[in-house]
Amino acid sequence: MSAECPECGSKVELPEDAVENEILECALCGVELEVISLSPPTLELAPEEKEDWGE
Amino acid sequence: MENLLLKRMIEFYSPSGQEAPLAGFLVQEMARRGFHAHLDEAGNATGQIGAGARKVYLVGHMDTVSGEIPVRIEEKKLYGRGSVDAKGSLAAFIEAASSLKDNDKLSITVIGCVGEEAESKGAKHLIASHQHQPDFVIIGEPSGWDSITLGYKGSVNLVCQITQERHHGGHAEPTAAERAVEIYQQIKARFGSETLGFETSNLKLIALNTHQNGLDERAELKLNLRTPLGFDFDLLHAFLESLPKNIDVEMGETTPAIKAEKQNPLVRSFLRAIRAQGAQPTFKVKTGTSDMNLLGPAWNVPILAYGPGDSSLDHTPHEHVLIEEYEKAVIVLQQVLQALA
Repeated sequence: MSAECPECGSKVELPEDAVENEILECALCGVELEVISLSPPTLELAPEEKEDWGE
Repeated sequence: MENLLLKRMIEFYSPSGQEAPLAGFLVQEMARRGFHAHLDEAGNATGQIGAGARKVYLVGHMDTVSGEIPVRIEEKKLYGRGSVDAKGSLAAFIEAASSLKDNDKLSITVIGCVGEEAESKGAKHLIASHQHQPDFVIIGEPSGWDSITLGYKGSVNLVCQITQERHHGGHAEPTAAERAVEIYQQIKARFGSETLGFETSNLKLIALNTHQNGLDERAELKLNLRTPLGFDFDLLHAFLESLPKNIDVEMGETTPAIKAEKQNPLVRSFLRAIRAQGAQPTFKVKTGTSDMNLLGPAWNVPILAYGPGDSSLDHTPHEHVLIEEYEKAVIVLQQVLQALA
């Protein structure tokens, strides 16, 4: 099972036990991806990591 | 709206050390909702609900910083000390867990800790007293309803005292106050960064007090250093030890930074629940600290912090939460718990 990396367009192999909302890394460009759907396999860029102050 | 659990909680003004009336109310309220509720030895309000084997801890705090804010609802915003930091999270935990009363998959324990804004007495008691670690932990701190917090910086307080003989004001010798400023600048040059961020260490001058008795003069410097992941506290200690002998330095308890993992069912459940409400989730890392810094390494299980509210309002006189945001956070938490069940 594979899906296209939305950042670099390369083919990303999904693990056999992949589940929705799992975070993966594109082996080619290194960007973090989120499994949005398994049928069909669809990847989106993982949520941004933002800095914030306070607790 | 007047009966909103969060509003009733905020009406108990509960700065650190004065949590007991709120704790009593919460134990009663959780018992009324079907929790097995009690006060533990530290004064934490604790309620367990659900008959399952998988243990989820929802750990918030009851105390706030000082500075009472009149409790009121204006334009669908609830104002009051603790509305954001962090009674909003704790109230949302209780409401969300209540809806899973009859589940047989999860055992959900809601804990309102004492002393998070002080020395984390409540969280330290949890670490010392809980022999069986939970499977998942959600810390109650404001992330915003559509975000989850994965990281907090570390922290250490420093107190430097410089005592020396008093000199005439026209003397070339630096005063104790001037030496204190030099020490501050040295520590800042060695360990502080001009850039505020999760990956930098940042030094704050909290107070500079001077005293003199006619013979001696003394300057006391209070500092707080916020530290990134992997900060070498031993190196800081060695640097402080190398300062001149007439400078007495006290290094407080060290709290290392934490960054939680993303690859686990807890994070996935939040992403799914936030997306289900039509929002694009965000991960946050914070420049402050929370009880997650202590509980994360102690329990070493999937952990994150979540709760309604804009943390830029933490500790300010304008602290308020949008009621709609609070309600969305309750829905997200309900869905997360259902997914973990």
